[in-house]
Amino acid sequence: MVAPIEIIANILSRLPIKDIVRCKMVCKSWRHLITSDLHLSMTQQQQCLLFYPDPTRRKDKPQSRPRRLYDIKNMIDLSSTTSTASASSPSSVVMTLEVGPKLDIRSEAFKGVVVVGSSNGLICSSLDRQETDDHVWVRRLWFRVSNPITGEYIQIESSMKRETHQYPRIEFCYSPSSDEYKIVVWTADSSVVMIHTLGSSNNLWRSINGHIPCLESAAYCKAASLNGALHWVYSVKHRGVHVCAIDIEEEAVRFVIPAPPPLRGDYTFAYVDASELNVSVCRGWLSLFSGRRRHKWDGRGNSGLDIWVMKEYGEASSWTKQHLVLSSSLLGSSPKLYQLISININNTTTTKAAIREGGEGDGKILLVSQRRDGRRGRKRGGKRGGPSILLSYDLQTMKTNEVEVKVWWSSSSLVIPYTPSLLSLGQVFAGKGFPILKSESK
Amino acid sequence: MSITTENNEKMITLMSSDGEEFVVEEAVAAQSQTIKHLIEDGCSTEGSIPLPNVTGRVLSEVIQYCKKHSSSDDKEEKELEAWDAEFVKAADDHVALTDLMMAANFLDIKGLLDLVAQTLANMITGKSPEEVRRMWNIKNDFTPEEAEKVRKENQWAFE
Repeated sequence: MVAPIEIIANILSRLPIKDIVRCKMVCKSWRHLITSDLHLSMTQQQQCLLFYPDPTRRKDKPQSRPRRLYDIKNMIDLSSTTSTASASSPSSVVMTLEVGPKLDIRSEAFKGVVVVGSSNGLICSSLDRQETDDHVWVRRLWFRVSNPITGEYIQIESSMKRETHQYPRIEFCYSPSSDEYKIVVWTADSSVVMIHTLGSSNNLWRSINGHIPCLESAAYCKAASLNGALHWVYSVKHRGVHVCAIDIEEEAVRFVIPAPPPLRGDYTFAYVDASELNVSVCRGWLSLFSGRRRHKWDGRGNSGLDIWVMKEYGEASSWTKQHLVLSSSLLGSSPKLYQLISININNTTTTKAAIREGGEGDGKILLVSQRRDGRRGRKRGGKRGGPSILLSYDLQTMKTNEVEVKVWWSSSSLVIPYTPSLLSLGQVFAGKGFPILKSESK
Repeated sequence: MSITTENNEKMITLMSSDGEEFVVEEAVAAQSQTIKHLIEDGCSTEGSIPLPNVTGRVLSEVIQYCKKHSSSDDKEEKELEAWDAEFVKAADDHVALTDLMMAANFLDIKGLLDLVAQTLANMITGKSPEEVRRMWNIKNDFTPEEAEKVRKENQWAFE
């Protein structure tokens, strides 16, 4: 019995990405369907997370610990966690993806690979390249855009210089109106933001229009993408925390507006740790939060986290506080996690990212949290130690669940949401003049 | 041929590919967009509506589903979910489910299509290509070299 192809496509589009790819092996017509059907490749709405090392943490700097940076990224598929109603024991599917061929740092000019970001299932990473310029060693940033699902990648040579002492903020984004992918680089020690459109001349970097204040802190946090703009949060000396929006299509500053009152002015640094500022999109609103020096407690062992959401986009007066009560459900059931909470009391937990909002009906936020067990930290020879944990917070029920993450990750891992796609780079960059390369398998 | 019952519900006769006739309320039959359009076009006034792609066995299952879903507008969603789960369980094997899915596709009943497609997807999840082939009786038309190439290109999915 042979089912019609549209029936097969309907079924396949509901599978986890790993199973879809495995089904390429079934027969030729299935392989053809999976590699060519645009509907199938575009309807992938599975939410995954990518874990990769934070380039700004000294310990994991590309040059000092290259092994760990070798292209291999861990991905967890959250679809099994978020779609099922019974989230009492969530587990996640783990996959290891390669974002391109491995680099041999001893023989090649490349000194490291860092994941920049993800958009439409494509992952952009920056390559730290050492070369001589009139007999002077300089570092330049090259880029690689890959779809680890199809194994394709393109490499973009660039003349963008990289200062050695600070890692720039780099973002990878998509502009739907022009159907173009862009790379945005904000050099940490100057107020210049450069933008490059993939497919334009390799060395064409435009600086964006509009004034951006100099960065005071080199906090490394990912920009939030909303309404066709990238949003960064940063602090400026004596002026507190600001949010800057850069229009991807216009390549111009859309606005720079101050953070909500508690994060403004000179008091900022008494109140927040600038390195723990975060901007994110929560329930469709631009939202801001920070790991606090002092956590508020409700007397029953629950810790709180304030998230500020901008109810009217672009209006500084519309910042509204949303209080999350963390952990009460975990407290009752798991003594092990109770420790996390008590660590929280001792001002040792950093909340790094509120990652996603699962759409209107769902209303879940994931929180990446880091346990900072003082004892354990000392053993490891630094207070930065301690395992990271992933929490899912339900905005409706105000319940917190830990999401089991079966990958190695540490305090210096960054996490980004990622939606796998079967989109072929050949289709995406058709006519742009990129040679499409294929990753060699192991 | 349309008949009217005591509670003024218009009845429709559906005929399967193997000539079996089913008399159902119009509201039940109209869950199928295909039948709804046929009724609107006046096809139901003379005799029964022929459904050449659906056998009597499958059609009776489809009608079962439509009856449940048309009579339970305000019923508890939970109960309906449980009923759906039992319904696909009763269909049992993937061959019956595939037949059901093709009927749902032809008759354009979105709820049923989604339900069965998801059930089949759950059955495939975690299966090897060989197991999937066996499920649908699909012939492996790859040469060993080609198969090896596909496997190599997508190594991560097989780990």
